[in-house]
Amino acid sequence: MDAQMKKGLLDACVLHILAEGDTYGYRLTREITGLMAVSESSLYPVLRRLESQGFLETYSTEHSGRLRRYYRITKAGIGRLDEYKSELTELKRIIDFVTGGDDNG
Amino acid sequence: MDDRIKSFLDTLKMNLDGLAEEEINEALSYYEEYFSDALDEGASPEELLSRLDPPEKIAAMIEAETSIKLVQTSPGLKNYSRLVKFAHIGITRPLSVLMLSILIFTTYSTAVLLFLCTVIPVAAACMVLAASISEALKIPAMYAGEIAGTVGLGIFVSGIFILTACVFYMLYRPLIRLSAGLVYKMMKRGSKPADKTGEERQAGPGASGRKRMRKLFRAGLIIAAAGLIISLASGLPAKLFMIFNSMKPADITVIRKEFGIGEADRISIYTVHSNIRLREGRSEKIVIEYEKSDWLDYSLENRNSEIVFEERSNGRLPLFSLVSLHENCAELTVSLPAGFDPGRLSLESRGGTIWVESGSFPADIKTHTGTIRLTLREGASGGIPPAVTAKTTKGAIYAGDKAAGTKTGYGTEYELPSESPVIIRLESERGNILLD
Repeated sequence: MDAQMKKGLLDACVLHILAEGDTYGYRLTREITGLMAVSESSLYPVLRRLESQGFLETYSTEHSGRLRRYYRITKAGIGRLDEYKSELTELKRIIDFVTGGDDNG
Repeated sequence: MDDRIKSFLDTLKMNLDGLAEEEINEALSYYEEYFSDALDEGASPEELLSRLDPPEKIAAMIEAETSIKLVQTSPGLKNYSRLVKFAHIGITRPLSVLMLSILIFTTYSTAVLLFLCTVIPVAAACMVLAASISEALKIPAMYAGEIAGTVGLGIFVSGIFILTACVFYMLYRPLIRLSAGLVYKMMKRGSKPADKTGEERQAGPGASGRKRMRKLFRAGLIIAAAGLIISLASGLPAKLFMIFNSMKPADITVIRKEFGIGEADRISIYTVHSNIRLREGRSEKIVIEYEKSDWLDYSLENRNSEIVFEERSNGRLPLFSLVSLHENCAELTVSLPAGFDPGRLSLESRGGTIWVESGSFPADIKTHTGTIRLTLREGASGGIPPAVTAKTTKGAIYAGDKAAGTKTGYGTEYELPSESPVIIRLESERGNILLD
């Protein structure tokens, strides 16, 4: 996949995963890298940015003797995710159109 | 914890130097936690480290992310330089590096230019204001209108300079912001520095800066307008406008004085910038008629049979030494009776035009920037035209419509020889000499 497109989709993926439930950094990274080929270290800046934009917030809980930081989506984050979804729906129509055309040809 | 992981975290910490402590701790605890969680889930350190970028690059990305935020909230060269420093680490492809260098170079040079365009008008504004005040202080207190007008004019001009500076400064900030956005884009290759909602959030401090600028701009506009109104009300700009457009001044007092031929045999006239006209009159007397403008003063007396006229400023006009380089279209007319032979006739004006309409009288004519016009059609009683010598240092000499005279080390010289005993000498430093 094109690197530019991939990085544009990263925010949407993070928000989507968090909408399903709170999670922590490593788990989030594994889920994303399982989905698309991005560098594992590219996620931290994304999380920091989304947090500073108010789309997600963090809290810490104890886990096997140490603190683990969890990420939770905010209301604004859900709103942003909805925007992404409607954009992607449009994109999907285009993809269907283009690949469908290929099938017919 | 594994040594390699430890060294990864140490390198990361070292490279994050310069960030706020909170920011550093945040990043370090994220990666510490990341490693702990990964090892707990059974990943091997080698595998983990191979999946991650080198710590130097990670640090650069984090630093750049922080810098872009700084640049966008307070766009300045300092924050921009910071961003650029980390962008260099993050960007490695030769073509991208080249493009980045070009972008940075363009941004810096434009920023410096805009900076100069901001600083120079501010300096000019200060200088104009100081000059106008010092000029106003030289005006006698009785001319309160001109004092106010001079200061008002100074305020108006410096206000305009301040507005110019504001405009350039307003361009400066978006330039840095735009360029920072481009640098960031190159680093991310595609993803935007901040999406719409993010920008709205970040608009907070930036918007207040813009609001302050707009306030300053409005203040400058009001000050400039006030200065303009004050100076217009004083009538000073109108007066200056009329002088520089060679219009006859509105407020003129005519002074006329006659002298008998026996009373004087020498005449010496000096005007600062009123025009002088020499002609042959019909009366038997020496007549001096002077149109006195309200910013000029004069003295006219007979000193040991020499008629002496001197014009000077009464201090009412600011920057008079500059203004008086331009002619004032009020006239001083010297009418001499036919056949009168002055022992010495000297006419001099600094910035005014001198017309010599009669070839009957030997005369010395001098100007600094004023024009000298010799038109002998009128009143030439005697038949033979007078001998004329003309020279100018920086001006030009025209005979008829054509350039005349020979260039010398001194300037341009021209001679019109004649049998006539009457010699008229014309001399100007910067003015033109026109012979019809």
